[in-house]
Amino acid sequence: MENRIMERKSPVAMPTAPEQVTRRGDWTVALRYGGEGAGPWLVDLSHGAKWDFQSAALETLTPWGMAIPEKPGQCRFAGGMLCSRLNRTQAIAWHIAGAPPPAPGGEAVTDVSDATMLLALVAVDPTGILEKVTALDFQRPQRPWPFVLQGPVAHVPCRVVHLGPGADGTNALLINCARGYARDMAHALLAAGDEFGLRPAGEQAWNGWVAAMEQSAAA
Amino acid sequence: MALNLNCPICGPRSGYEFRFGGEDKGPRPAEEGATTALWLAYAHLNRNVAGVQREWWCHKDGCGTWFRVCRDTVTNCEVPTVDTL
Repeated sequence: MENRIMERKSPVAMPTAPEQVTRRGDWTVALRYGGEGAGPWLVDLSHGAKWDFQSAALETLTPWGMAIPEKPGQCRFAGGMLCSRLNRTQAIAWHIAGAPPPAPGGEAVTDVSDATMLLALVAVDPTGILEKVTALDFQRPQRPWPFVLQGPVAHVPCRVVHLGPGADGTNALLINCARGYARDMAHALLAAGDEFGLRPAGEQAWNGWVAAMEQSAAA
Repeated sequence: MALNLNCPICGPRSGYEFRFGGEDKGPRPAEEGATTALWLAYAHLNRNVAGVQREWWCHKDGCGTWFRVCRDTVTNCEVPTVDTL
């Protein structure tokens, strides 16, 4: 019998092929693109694990020892996991950096890694790019980072997390929506960011940005 | 007429992000002793007022929350909650 290997494919299609890739957990992950430079960058993070939590008692759940944020709109980032509170009964958690965590157990959890896509937009002013394709207002009211907004981006229902500033004055937004919109979402964002020089970047650039942000926050 | 609604979680948003959930008819009638006419009225009949009415809305393109607002059907504007409705 033929020995088959499972292949999981990111739904995001960038206009250029990556220069360096790696295999990780049945995914082909783009590590580096040519001409990444200093950004701004659009990074495909769809291969990261993503979980959805739904419960009337979210405050009793502590996945990875992390308490789920108390109020809708609030986020918590620790150990490479970003947890966002969406409403009274729902929260989401994304693995965006570092070693993959174990899957949380319990009936309140659904693995949505293959159902949704995740893009990171890193730029000095990423909201200036995103506001070309959405009416979401990231400036008012002012909120402490990180925070999540939910609404249409390019007419697609999305969750957008503002991670805040990194070490070098750049900021990062994470854009999450259903898998089927991924190709067109990446196309729309690259077109919106064309005048700012937005280009595809790989996971190495993203990991470097996150590590610098964490060091900067700890200092 | 453009409609804007205040989502209790996301704040003011365009009406295009919401789904209309019908008039707020109050609590479901008790099943014991309920007549067919009572159920018909609860399930299908609306007041359809020209003026302020309390309604259910869902922020379907945002946080997914169901909530109630008071809307003036003549001006298509949200109005402060009216407790006497």
